[in-house]
Amino acid sequence: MSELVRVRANGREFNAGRALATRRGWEILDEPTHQRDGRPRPETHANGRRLKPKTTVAKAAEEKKKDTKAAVIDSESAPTSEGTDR
Amino acid sequence: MTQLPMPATTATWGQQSYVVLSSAPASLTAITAAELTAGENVSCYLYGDWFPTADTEGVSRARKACQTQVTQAKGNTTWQTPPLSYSANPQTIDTPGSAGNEAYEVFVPDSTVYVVKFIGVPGDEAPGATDAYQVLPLDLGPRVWAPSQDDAGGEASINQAAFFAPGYSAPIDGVIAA
Repeated sequence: MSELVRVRANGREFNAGRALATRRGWEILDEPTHQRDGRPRPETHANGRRLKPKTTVAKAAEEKKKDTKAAVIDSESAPTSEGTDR
Repeated sequence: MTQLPMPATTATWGQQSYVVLSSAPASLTAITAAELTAGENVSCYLYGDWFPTADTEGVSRARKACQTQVTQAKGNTTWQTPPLSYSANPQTIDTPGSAGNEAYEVFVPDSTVYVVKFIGVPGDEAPGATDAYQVLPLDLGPRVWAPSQDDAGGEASINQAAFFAPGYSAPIDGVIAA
């Protein structure tokens, strides 16, 4: 009896120990834990979709907004003693 | 002459907490409180301290014809994770959920686990919201039984090699999200 099993829990499919899966009441699947090339099967969503790192563009968008604002200010020439050049 | 005040420090003795996640959190830098609760707190199973270390090698720059001295520059950094050493009960390991084997059951050889390490959090308490942590995705080696290394004769313990899981090469810092 192999100790590592494929389980389904909390909307995910992953490899875990049989004892832990039993204790936690996770659904034990009759599926391989390793791929044909010998590497362990990666964790996936319950429907088999690959997990992707959570990404957000909010930070990048904010940076860009800041840069754009700075660029606008830079493009205006500094006022001289005679006033601005406009 | 005035004496400088000592800076505030954080104790590590008894102030380390380790939670093991069997399933990948949605974000490694912002593990949620719910994901943490679903993990296994192994702080009272692990022996001693468990701190990953890093070696950074120096690389020599190529000497120019006019030079007689060369400088060293920063080279590769290799992070190492020490073996995990934890207690387990050899006569009851075949019974799932048996007392004292919680760490044994979560550290399954050949599996990937996410060890969330809190420094400065009491090990016998559950880490809470907004606690800062280091998370290490680990690929686990085989379990090796050994007596624990203490002077009282030793408890049955397991030493288990741990390496960074494919795709990771260093601990990742984060803060618990709500």
